[in-house]
Amino acid sequence: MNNGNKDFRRFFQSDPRALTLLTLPAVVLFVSFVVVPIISGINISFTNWNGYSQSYSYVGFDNYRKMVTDPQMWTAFRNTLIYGFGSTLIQTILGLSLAMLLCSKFFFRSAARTIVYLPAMVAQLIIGYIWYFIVTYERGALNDIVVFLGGAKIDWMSKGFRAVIIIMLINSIAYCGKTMIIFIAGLQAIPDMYREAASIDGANGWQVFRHITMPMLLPAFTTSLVLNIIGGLKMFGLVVAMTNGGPGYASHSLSSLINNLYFANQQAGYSAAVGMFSFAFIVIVNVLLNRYLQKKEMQYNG
Amino acid sequence: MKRFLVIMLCALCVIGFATAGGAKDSSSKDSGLHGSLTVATNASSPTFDAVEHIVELFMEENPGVDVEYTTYGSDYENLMKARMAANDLPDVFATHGWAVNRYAEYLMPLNDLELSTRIAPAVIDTVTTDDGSIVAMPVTMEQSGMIYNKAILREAGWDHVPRTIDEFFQCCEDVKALGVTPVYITGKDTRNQANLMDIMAVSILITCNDAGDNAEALYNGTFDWSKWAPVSSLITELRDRGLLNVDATTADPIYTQEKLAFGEAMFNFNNQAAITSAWELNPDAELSMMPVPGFHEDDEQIWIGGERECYGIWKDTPNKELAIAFLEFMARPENVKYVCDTAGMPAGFIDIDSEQKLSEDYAAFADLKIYPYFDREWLPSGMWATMRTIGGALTAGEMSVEESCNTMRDSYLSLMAQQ
Repeated sequence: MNNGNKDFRRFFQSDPRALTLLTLPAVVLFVSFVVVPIISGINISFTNWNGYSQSYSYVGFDNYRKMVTDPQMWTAFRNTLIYGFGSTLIQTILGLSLAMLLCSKFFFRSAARTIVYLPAMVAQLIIGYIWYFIVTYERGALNDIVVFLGGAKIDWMSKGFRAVIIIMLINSIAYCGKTMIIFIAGLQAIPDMYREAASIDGANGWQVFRHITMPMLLPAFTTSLVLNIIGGLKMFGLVVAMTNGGPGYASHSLSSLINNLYFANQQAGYSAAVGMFSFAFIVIVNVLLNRYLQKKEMQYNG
Repeated sequence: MKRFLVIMLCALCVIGFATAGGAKDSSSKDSGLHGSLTVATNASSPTFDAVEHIVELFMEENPGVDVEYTTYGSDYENLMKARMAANDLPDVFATHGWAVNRYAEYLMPLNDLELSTRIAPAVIDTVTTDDGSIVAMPVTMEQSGMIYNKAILREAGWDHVPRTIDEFFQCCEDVKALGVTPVYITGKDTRNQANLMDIMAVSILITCNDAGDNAEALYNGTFDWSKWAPVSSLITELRDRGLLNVDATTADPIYTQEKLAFGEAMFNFNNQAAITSAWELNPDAELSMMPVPGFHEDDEQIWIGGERECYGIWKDTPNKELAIAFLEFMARPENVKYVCDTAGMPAGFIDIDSEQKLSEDYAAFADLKIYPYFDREWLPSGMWATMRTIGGALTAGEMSVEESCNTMRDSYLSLMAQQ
């Protein structure tokens, strides 16, 4: 056994390139579950496959051409931008505020952090179903409050754009705990001496926050923004649970539209084309965002 | 202590041998069938419970067989599509109205089985392919139209169900005056709206006196989709005249059972199972099924029908013998009758004397013709989702009637091109 271990070590020490073999399991998984599905998706996007039959035909760029004129696709794209960027903005503001608040010392601090983070551990679909019964017209908790205050009941999710905004807000509230944890980690990594030095120099609270805390939180911003934008752009569970994409197709995200086109509408080829567009869009947004934030980090860190 | 343990061990051995002997005894009575079988359905209670009982009886009669009977519920279609794509299907599965148009290439013909000679004429065409293969066995069949409440109809001053669409709207107005919701729709799911259009489209586009060559045009892809406008307009008119429930766009289907059971809604667009389900809450609810009204004054009322709880055998199943034995067992008259009586659905077989609360009401319209669902017969597979989309959008006012016609046309042409 010992000899075996020594041989194993000698093999990797003999040539540093042998160490690359250790990446093999990750490479196999990546190829199997990322590269192959992407290539398969690209292939399907050029077909008229219905999603279940054993046969299909190639239709060239028809599916991509159809995307340009399809109102469902552009509504879903607009909604995806709202879900992605709107949620990120609100989550960042809420997450940072909560992090600042829960970094100060008070008796229930740990319990408060846990409570804020708790929804982030629950699946999106479950959150969606819970919120559905809060905003639903019939016996919804929100309408109970409205009626208690003397108002008339409102069918909150019946208008497309309003439904999109409500879903975006729910996503922001539910997952701001995740952002908060990232910012708490960032805040705790800032040495107290910087803030103390600034205070001694006469800086007020806002100036300390603006010129010390914010720049030093940039790495946390990068992590949080990238994760939140990816999460928002991939929004699926909340949409399915709360509106199923409706009314009509008014609240679909690109992900829920892809699901609907593939399974319900039996247009797997077109669905794959929308999927490719969505994939490319998320990659581009994240590459640009990462570049921008890294440049900012370098500016502040000299 | 040691002696006690020895005694306990001996006792356990005796029990073990006795049990093994018992098992051997019962297996000696079995039919010689051995193995396991997977049976999948989308049925919910009470149909699921009824079929589950039949499965248990089958396993009692064939102790060597283990049947895993599962329902995938509302995910059934998606899961089955994924399994079809992988060509890996359950041994026996429910075809839920799509035996021919969707599942036929994966199903084994049943023509050689005795049960195929007993399938009801009203439903046999819906499970028979163009080359004459009977690919599924309908235990129950649908005979649907509109669910209505007889007590509210009487209270609104009507002594007959609406015979035309104009009468239907008038009846809705009379019901609204009573303070009852005339048409209850659960728009979160949008199946209601799709179902409304699906059955009304047959009346408006196929069976009305001025239907012309609509049916032929739908088959060959030349249909003028502006003719769909009256179908979509039904929803917008119901909405604009305030004849739908206030939350028609967002209501969850879980409320349907309660609304029907306690007389809070007059009409609903579902199959008989919704009535059976409402009777679980209130057995005295005077619910019934009425035929689809005619489009014009002189058009006939019609029933919409087809396969309901219907099973086929995967053509590549390694358990063909077991699967055939299971279907033959389920097709026994007493078993079919049990499922029909429990589910409250008409039988898909001839000579089944099924006892249902609705039998008398159906008998009153026995001379009316039964037509298939519009999407199953005249549209390519996949259009149901489009009808759900436009139904939801029309209810919410997010789409005009003209836009709905264009959406139907585009989806129709796209899906026709796949065929």
